[in-house]
Amino acid sequence: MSAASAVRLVAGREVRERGRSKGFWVGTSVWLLGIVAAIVVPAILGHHSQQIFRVGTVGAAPLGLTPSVTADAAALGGTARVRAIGAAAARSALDAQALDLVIEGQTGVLVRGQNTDPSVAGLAHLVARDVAVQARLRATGVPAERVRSTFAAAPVPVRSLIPASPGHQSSRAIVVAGTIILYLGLVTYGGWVTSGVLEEKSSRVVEVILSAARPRELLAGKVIGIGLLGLGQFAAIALAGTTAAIAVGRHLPASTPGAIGLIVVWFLLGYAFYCCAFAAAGAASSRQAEAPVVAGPLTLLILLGYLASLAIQSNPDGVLARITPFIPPLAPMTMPARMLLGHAAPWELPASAAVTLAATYGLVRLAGRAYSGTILRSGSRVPLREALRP
Amino acid sequence: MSVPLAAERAGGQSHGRPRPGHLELAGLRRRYGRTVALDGLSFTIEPGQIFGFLGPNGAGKTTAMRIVMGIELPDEGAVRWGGRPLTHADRLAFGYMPEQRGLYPKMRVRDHLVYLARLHGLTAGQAGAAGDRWLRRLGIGAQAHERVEALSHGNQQRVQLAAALVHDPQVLVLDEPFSGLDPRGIEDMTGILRELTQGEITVVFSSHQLDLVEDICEQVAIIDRGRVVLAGAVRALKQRGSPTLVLEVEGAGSDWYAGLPTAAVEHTGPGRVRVTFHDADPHLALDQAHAAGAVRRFALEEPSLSQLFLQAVGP
Repeated sequence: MSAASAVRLVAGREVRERGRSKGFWVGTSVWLLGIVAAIVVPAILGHHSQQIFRVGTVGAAPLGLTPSVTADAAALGGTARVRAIGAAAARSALDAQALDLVIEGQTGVLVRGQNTDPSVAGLAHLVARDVAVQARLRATGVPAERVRSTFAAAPVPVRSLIPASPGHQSSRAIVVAGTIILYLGLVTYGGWVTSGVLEEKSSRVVEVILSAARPRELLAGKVIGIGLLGLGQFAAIALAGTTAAIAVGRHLPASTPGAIGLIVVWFLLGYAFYCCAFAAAGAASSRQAEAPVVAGPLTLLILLGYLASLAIQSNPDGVLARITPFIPPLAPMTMPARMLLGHAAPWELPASAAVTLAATYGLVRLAGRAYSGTILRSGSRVPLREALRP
Repeated sequence: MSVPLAAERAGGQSHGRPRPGHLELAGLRRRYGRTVALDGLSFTIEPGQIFGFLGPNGAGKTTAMRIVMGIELPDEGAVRWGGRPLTHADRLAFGYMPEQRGLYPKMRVRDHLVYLARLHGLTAGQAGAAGDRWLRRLGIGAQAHERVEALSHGNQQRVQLAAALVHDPQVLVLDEPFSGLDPRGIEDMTGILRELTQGEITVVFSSHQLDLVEDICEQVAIIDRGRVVLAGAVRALKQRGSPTLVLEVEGAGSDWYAGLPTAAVEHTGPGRVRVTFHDADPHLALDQAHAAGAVRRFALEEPSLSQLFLQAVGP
């Protein structure tokens, strides 16, 4: 039997047995529901993008006030519904959130104050100024009809120097979601590797397996099998996310598949980097309760990568963004953000991947040795130094 | 290196041209820190036999078996099969049941056997057929699709044995196969091993219960502290050892055996005594007993393996 077929058999068992387990399907469903909900729910809630401002007027509303409120609301991207109301009723309606703002004749504008929507506050300021200016104009003898038509005019457009393109918005959303999935994926699949290795060790089945397969074949098969399952889950999540985004009418730029592909590639690089170390942690443990402690430094490193990625998302060309893609344990989490949001030079991606792969080679060899050295040792936890002894 | 005579004789058979299929452990040494597990262990197992690899707990049996299975490496020495160093590929024709039993608890029984058979190089079709055949043969066909953890202890033991046999190995290595078995289980296991060796399988098993297994094996190597102290055919070893004379006499006092080399004296009833002798002249002893009282039992017993072992390692 060749090494390749032994690895294939071990990986096949891993995929079959895990793929059959209830836990796997529950986990996958939670992932899928989570990602779909994260996309669909805001879309449904934010569907009425035309904000409606409910405005009450107390006392005799001056002619021309309603058209100017409507124009102000339009300038803020919404519409105004203006109605006359008594002073006491206006206050209670405002308090009960049945009105957004109340124009108290010419004396002032009343808003709720607490939890006031920023656009309502903006409208209040515009309306307050209009009320004052209109009163002044009328006082200087401008005919009411002219005041009305003047204030009904549409405002001049406000433009951006650096427009926020929908494409950029989408990449940001992909990076935010992708980084979270990368982080959770690495920690989850790493945990599977640790507990899977420990299950083999503590059930003692490993001795039977190792009488037919070499330790490195068993190790390779296990991490490849779990990696394939992880990749499948990852692909399902990406597909569900993209489908949901299209279904709710989100604009997806042409670069979306490339961005998802980049994150998948870095997921694979990250998994390759960490998986054997997670396996060694399982082999060095003796009880399930002990495994998370032994694997603790690894999950901490992944968390650090995630935090670095968050920093890079807010400043994609900063110092962290330039340095961390070349620190192999952090690179899988930080390089996608740097690539998709910052202005990375063309050499940065291949260089970062090369550094990560080189470190992966070293770590896999080291962790493989620790795994082989400890997988058959029962009893207490094996100290790191002893595990690495050739 | 001083090897007792019996071990030299047993090893001597392999120093000529080894027959194909001979499994030879040659000068195995293994230490764990300061503990010496194997101290120049050498013996040869002939093909098609049931070979008992015996010795007290901690003698080095498990270490030796793990080295045979390639799970551990010796510091020195080698394992040869048919005269050539045993390779990883050769070992796929070996079946192994470790002392620490273990299977994937959540896997279904048949799937488990098929998986192990395939790891040993069988195709999917062969593995499925072999799995079914061994499940039937060991009487656990009805449990084929249950999870291993759902099985009774006895049935788990059967699956464990099936796991060692499913790829139809040429050499079967069993570490303490009788430990944890009730008398019925021991009988079943013995029956299976005897049946297997009809078909030219070599069976090597270890045990610390020397007397339990002496009827099962044809050849033995008895080890202590990592080296062989006795080896050879069980029959020959027993015949070479001095037989024990046992006399049970009623109403005879103790004067009659005073001048004879007694090994043990046991009161078995009112006025009744059982005396065990080493190297006493049976005729003389019988005459004296007969003169003194009523002889209830007179037997010349072959030494048990544990007696031979104790004689060999000394007090």
